[in-house]
Amino acid sequence: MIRAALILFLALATVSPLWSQSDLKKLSGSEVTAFDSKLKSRSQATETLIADFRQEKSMEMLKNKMVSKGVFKYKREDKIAFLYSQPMVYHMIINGQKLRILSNGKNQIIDLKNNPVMREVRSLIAASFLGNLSQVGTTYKISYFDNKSGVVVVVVPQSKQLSSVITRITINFKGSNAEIERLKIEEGSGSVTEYIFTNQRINTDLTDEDFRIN
Amino acid sequence: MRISGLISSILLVVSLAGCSPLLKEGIWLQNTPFAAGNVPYVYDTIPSTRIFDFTLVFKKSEVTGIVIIKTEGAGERRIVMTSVFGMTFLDFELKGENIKINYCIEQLNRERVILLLKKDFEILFKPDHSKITRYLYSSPDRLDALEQGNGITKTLMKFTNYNNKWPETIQIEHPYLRLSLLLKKTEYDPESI
Repeated sequence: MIRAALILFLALATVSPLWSQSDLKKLSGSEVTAFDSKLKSRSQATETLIADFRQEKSMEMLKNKMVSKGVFKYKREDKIAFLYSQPMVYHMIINGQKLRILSNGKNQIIDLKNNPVMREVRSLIAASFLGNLSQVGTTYKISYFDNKSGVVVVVVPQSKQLSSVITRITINFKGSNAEIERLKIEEGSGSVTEYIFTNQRINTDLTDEDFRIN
Repeated sequence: MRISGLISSILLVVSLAGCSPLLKEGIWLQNTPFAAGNVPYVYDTIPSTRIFDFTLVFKKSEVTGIVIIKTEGAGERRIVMTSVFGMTFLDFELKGENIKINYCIEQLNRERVILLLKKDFEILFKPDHSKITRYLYSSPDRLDALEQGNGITKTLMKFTNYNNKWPETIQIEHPYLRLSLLLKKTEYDPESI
């Protein structure tokens, strides 16, 4: 009996992602416009945002996900920071065209002009927070879906260079206020990295100093 | 006469440089039974998954990330290098002398780079795989360093912070290429993944 229940549970666990995928309903043109306007009004009211994040990396060769945690900071319109605290301290700060990485107590500054992948990730995150996803251009195919609890935006890079690294980005927005809940990046390698944002606070005391590069 | 004298001097210097140990501490053991195949291993051969933080330095550029090494069977391993942010740089499998690339970002996808990394990991997994390797021991069952080759791809490896038979810090250097790879035991819990 227990064995049968376990098999049923495993079968459901395997099938549920497919089921939830098919549960997505494509938004109509007017629904997309309404969502865009909701996203825009939220972004216009958001000068800064701070949230806890949990990063989960899934790889075919690993039994479980690799989990790391930290604090995410955003300041309009091009300042983003992922400050990892678990399992190690690692800071990734993007300010305009510059990326600063703090690892093992050492600082490294990278020009995003030379890093097209990180530049695109920066643009997409910023566009999500700025509410102008529709204007990221023809470099992406963007589709909007309703998943009952909110809106799911699926972004597929069209350029060959980017799509060999990132095959798809899925952003989950909360229905009530267009708050970003999850960001999932599917890679050309087959790995999937998901960022889950919780405890979000907007317009707190974030200054440019929090995103200092030099 | 002067030219032949110069050549002789160069040959003497080169041959002396080739014999002299580069490490100042410990004793270089050459032509010992160890070099004939009884070199202690520095990496476990039992099927397992181990994770290290890595720092790859080339000249003044530095890349940091995580390397996951899965030992699947005798001489079979899968190695994945990713960034902390999540992006995979390189995913390859070693089986005997063969390498299979599962994924590689365009910037890293150069035959020389891949073959150099292949050789580095082959030495790490089987330190006695070449007779031209020299070893440094602090005790007969513990390898502190090894050195292979004298040319442009000369390789120097240092093994420190031993814990339960295996080093937790591995420094791989190619001094003439100004390229180094540091592997350090990660804070990720290997049991949880």
